[in-house]
Amino acid sequence: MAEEKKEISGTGSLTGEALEAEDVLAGAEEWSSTETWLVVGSFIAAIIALVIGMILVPTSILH
Amino acid sequence: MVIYASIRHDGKNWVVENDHFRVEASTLDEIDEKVRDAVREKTPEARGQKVQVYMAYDNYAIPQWIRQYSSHYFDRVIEF
Amino acid sequence: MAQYPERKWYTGMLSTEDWWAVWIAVGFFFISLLNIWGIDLVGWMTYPTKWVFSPPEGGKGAIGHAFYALGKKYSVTAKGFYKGLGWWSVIWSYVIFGAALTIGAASMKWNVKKFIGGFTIIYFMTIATWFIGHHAFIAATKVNMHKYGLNFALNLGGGGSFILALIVGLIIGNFFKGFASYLSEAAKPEWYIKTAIVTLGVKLGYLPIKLSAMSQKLGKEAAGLTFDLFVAGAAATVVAYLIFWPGVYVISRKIFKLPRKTAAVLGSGISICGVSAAVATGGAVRAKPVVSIMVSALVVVWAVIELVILPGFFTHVWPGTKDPLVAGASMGMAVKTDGADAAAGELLDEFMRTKIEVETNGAVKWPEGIITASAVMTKVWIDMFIGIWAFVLALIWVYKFERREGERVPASEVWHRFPKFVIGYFFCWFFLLAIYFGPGQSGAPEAMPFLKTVKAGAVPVEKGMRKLFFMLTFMSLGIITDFKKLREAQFGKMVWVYFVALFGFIIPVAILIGYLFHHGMTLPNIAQYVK
Repeated sequence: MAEEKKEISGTGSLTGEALEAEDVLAGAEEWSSTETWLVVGSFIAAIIALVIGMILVPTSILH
Repeated sequence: MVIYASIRHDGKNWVVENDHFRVEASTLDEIDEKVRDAVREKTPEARGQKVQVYMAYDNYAIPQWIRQYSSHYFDRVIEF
Repeated sequence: MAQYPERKWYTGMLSTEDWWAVWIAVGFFFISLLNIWGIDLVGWMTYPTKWVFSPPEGGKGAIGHAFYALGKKYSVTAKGFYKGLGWWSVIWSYVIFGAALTIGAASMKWNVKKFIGGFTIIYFMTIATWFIGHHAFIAATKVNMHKYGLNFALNLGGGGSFILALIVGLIIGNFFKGFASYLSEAAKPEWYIKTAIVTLGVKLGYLPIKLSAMSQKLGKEAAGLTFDLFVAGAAATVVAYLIFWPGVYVISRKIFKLPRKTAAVLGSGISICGVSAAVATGGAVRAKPVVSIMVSALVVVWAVIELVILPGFFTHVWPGTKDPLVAGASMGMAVKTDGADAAAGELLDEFMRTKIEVETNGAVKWPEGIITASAVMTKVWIDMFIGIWAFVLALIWVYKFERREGERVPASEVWHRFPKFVIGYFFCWFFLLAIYFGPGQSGAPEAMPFLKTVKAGAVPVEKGMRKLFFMLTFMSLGIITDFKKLREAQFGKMVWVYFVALFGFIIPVAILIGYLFHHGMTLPNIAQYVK
């Protein structure tokens, strides 16, 4: 068992070339509301972090 | 009770194994189903109890050149 | 029979590169501190100096002195011994660092024989390029070229050696693939750079001590500056990442019509920390590992392209020497993978310092390493942040997109994804700061003899060891970078997503945010204190 794992570790059993990548690139799902929420939420969090950061960080251009 | 196992992807299937069982399936849904069956079958002492299966990703199945960048893929936990 | 134990918080301490970077660098750091008690066990670390074939009379640059043991200059107790080492310091460094790395490789269950063979070749090729790169024609500037009897020099500083190492590595990686594959066991840019980043922590902590020897005020300024970088870097990276990730995700999903999981992994891979983020996110969204592997292959190649383009761009086009730390911080946010970023930061450091010296005719000189530190600081923060972001994504994917009965996301994932080498980096930095503010009395003149003993240990580690590991990074980065990967048809779509996202979105946003948080930060001028 350990031997088998070691063999895998030597070369790495998975490579991009060895695998068919079709299913990874195709079959896009419909855009969902959770994604909108995730993307918009992340941007809003960025704006909040930016404002707080600019106020608190002494080297920001506000200072 | 908690049962530990390793999980990896062999390029085609997900493989979950420990000393008592080894199951393969192409999707995580199927693998979970098979793990449940295997645990019920091979671990009689788990019957009637709440079981947690902790599947640690087997890092040795990640290509070695990538392992230097990140040594952790994921650990999955399912309960039933 | 294999064991399937629970993954504990300490799992991997002896079996991952991350931890071994800490053990090796912190190990040598502690050994270096023995200097405080008069024991110098690190002075053998080798370092190159500029040379020419025929040095002018009374000038500098004899080949016989092209490599020296740093103890020759800095040791308090064993100067004589280390002075005698000369070129032998190259062999000492090979044997001692080689042994330390081999212990690590063996613990990680690599093929030790192959590692030693690969490391030996990589090490001596690295030394050869380091040597050639320090020919005064390449490394000297117009300010100091006359000392070597030259009327013209390329003004590259130490940057020339780095570029040379990368070129040699790339030639091997792309044209001698059999050889590259033999070397692959030891071509580990990420391991070397993590070790170098921990020693960069030593550099950061040592900076106030170094400048105190010039003036106490400069020392305090340096301590303040490094802390400012720490704070500004944190804010900048959090903001940048929260803009990068959704941006790339939308580009991948809406313009390139990729599936959710692939878009998520690409979002992280292209956004900031490249391979480690691609692996972390792939795991978080339960993608098949092949997604992360494909993205990683792209990341590695694109990162090297950035490494080649950006330092020159930032130095000579914008922002130039006016805003060196904006350039450094932006580099950290724009260049994927720790190795390529730290390498790009180091190159930028060399280019910028050389440029300012040439521009002002030697009237302004900046201490080395601060610009590198600014590039690494943003990267280190993002390496930590990705663990949290991956956890958030795991929650969304497991509980929202792909609800499976009974599946839970263990909170321990955040720790398992934490980049452990960062602990070593902060540890060394704060340990030396504690020495500086504590027994070092913030660089007060009466503490100088004590601080000199600290310096005798710190310099070989932050200078000799760090630069050597950077050189090893450049060389092995080249060796593992195969440009052919970009041409493979199945990557087609991803190559374009990457190109559009990187140059049209990531780099401009990185520069903007770097500017917002770092504009106007200045580096101390040490020209009057150094030759």
